Amino acid sequence: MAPAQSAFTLSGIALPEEEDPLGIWQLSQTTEAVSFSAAAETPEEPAWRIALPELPETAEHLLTDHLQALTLSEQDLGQAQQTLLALSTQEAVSFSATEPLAGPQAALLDAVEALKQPVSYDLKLQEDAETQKLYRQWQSFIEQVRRTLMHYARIETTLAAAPVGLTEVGWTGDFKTTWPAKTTGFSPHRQYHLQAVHLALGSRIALLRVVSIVSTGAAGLALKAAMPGAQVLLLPATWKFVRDVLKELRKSWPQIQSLI
Amino acid sequence: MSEETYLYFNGINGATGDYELPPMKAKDLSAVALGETISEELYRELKNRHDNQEAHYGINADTSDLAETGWAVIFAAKDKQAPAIREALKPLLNLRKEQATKKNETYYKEFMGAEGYRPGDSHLDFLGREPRQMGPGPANPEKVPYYLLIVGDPETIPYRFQYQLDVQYAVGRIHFDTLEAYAQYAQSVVEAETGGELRLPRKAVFFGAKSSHDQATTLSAEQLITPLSKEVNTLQPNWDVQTLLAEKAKKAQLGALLGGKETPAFLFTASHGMGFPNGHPRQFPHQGALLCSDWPGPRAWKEPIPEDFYFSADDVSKDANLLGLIAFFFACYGAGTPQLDEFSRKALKAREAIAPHAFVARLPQRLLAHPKGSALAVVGHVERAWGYSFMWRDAGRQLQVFKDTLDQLMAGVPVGAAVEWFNERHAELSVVLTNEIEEINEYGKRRDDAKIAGLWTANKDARSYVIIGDPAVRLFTAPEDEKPAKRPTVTLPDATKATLGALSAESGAAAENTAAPQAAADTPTDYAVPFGLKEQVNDLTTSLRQFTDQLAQSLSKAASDISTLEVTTYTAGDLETLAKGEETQVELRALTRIAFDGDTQIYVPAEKQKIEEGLWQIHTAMVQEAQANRAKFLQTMAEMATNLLKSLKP
Repeated sequence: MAPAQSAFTLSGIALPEEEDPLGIWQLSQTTEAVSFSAAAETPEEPAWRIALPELPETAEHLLTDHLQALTLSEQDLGQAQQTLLALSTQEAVSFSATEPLAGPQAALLDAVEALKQPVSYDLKLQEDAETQKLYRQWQSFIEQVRRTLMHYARIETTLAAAPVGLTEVGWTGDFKTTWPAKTTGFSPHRQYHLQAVHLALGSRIALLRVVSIVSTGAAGLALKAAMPGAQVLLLPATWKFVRDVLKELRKSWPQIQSLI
Repeated sequence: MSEETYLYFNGINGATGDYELPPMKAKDLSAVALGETISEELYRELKNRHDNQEAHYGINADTSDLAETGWAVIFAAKDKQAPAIREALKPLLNLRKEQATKKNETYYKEFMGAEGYRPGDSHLDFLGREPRQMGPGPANPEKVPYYLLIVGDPETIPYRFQYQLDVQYAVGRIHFDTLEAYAQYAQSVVEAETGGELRLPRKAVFFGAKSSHDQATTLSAEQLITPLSKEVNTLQPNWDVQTLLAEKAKKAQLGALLGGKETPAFLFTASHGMGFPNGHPRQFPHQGALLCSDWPGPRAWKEPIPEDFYFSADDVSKDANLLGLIAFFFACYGAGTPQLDEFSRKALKAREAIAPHAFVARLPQRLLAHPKGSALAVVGHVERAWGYSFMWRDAGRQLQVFKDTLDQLMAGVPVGAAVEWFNERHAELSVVLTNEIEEINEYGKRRDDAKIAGLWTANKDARSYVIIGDPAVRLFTAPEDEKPAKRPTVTLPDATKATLGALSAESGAAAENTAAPQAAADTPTDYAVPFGLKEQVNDLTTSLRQFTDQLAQSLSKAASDISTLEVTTYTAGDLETLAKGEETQVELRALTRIAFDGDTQIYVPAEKQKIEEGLWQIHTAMVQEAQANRAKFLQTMAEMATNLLKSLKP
């Protein structure tokens, strides 16, 4: 478990079930850092906050672990993409029930099969609470990722609750960083913040990739369902598939103690 | 009203549970009004309308007789689905042609193709073009009939055009997602007017939602619903007028009134309308839905508004029987939503998008296209509705416009002619407001913010009432000496559905490149897809399209701003204060600007405040990070845009 005084939180984005599909960030809906009085009109901008403990070894260890988790997530996304491609191009995919991805694959192929009978799937969509929930979750996910495109990325790093760096990354990649005036010389604190910026921006790109992988995956699978609109109707199930695959693959990661 | 008085609006943001638009000060609105002008030609039209109010209401004729007023339908010139929609509407068009040409065969017209609405048309552009050659002023049915039915979404034929025409004409609009819906509406109107079976009880219900500590619904319940229902009861003693307020105005009750056993001939509701942030997944399906008294009010409920509190299109039962109903929804967005904000405080800077595109509210669409028999019309509001409209400054409650409109409607006058009182109010307020602004801006008259704000809000409010449905429909109640009959059911014959299915397939291909976003969103579907599934396809497609639009905007912006990459480094004495979003003193210590061609400019402080080595190094590292991030981010977005566009292909 991560030390109690540390946290890697993402606020201003309400991902379904308050869960980061990459397994790196804790989601927070509230923040004391930015407040807009007209909350109804102006939603909070997405902010990535890295709170590190004072002990240098622990702080470095935490950052290294999270950066490693990002690399692994990117690899896992690649695997999810390849699996989707295989599912959409092969007539039948054989997999053993003991394989880690067997469950997600079976669930996805069930969704494709169900779509071949539109009437029954229609009933399922209307009556099955789980399907309804999934449908809403995908809508919510895509909306939240869209918000990351509308706002600046804001990255804040603190060490033992004291701010060590604040960076705003604009639309086109412009950086604006503010450092405490009292920090001088080759302080490791600055390196911490630099790594935090790398982690946050890498995570943002990975979330965008999730949407891309889901949409191409659903389009490929739609050929199997052969009905109008299948490429969009399969989006929620494909999104669940990608999320579940990432979860399954995380179980086989080398032990990263500090991850949430 | 003092200048510090706040104006309250009817509208609740479903995503936050907060007010859709916070109360605004009169002086803020006044500033908006003073910066806004209307075209000279529209001003003349409004003034002409206002000056001649006693002589006629848009036409010198009996507005209950289409043979005297004429009737026309307007399609967008480039609407490739228009021929198929026309076919679906054929029973209605045939009926209107028969009614309008009894005395003069030129009194029925179909403006489509080259004669249709063209992108960017003002009402005078449209009226003046061949074959109409009509100038401003009252309707001349030989050129342009008085009753005009616009067919199309408000993105293709904008609400603004509808407002302008409405000054002198009786205008309604229909827009549905499917040909079956058009056919269902047409069939229902024809059945109501010619079937001989529709003899509704003379029952009118006034439904006033009211929640604790909510000033808007307290005002509408006490100052609009209660007195208006009493006045109507006096004016129409042969009607059974029922009033449901507060605890009696809950969602379940509204369900009984909108298609259930208690469905009246005429329903008037006053409530908040649901609003959602631009692009929110619930915006298209639920914006304009009616918030009922189930909502505990702003103090007791500070979370997103659950669907249990409001009545949306999803709540209209599949077994509902709505034939003949005419409803009036006093609620924000009750009839529709424009793309751009009219009222926000941000209007002081620029109008911002409040929706991905303009649209007709789903609830009236559902009511007017119900597969068991449809409502005939819904009068409602586009944009936010204002409580101030029925409370006039120091004069207090003002119900005459509502009262006269309802009196005529219940007397059997077609809905388009009955709501002329709102158009008259719009004309009058426009003239007064324009004169007031002219006096201030050009002749230095002392500015009275409260007065300007009042005029401006009331003017916008009166302008924004629109009819969803054919403006020539009317209430069909049983004559006093006859017993009312049960509502007949109107369903489309299977043969009609099959014909429409084939037409849909043809027109779908033809309409592939039409501009209307909502039509475009429908292209992956066909009529073989069951209703519920089709809804899901539409919603999913819409959200994906919004995402893609956002992506395209980002890429476009990036393309225009990509010429340089800027990395700036500051120091702050108190970073904690800055992190809290508060102002504190910061010092610029380094700026690197890298041009697209690699040309790099570096700015650092002059010698005596020289940047220290450690800070310079981290600045350089940030520059490298920024370069790597930009390349990867743009590459990811470009790949994603390509993939999403493939997904959206039908």
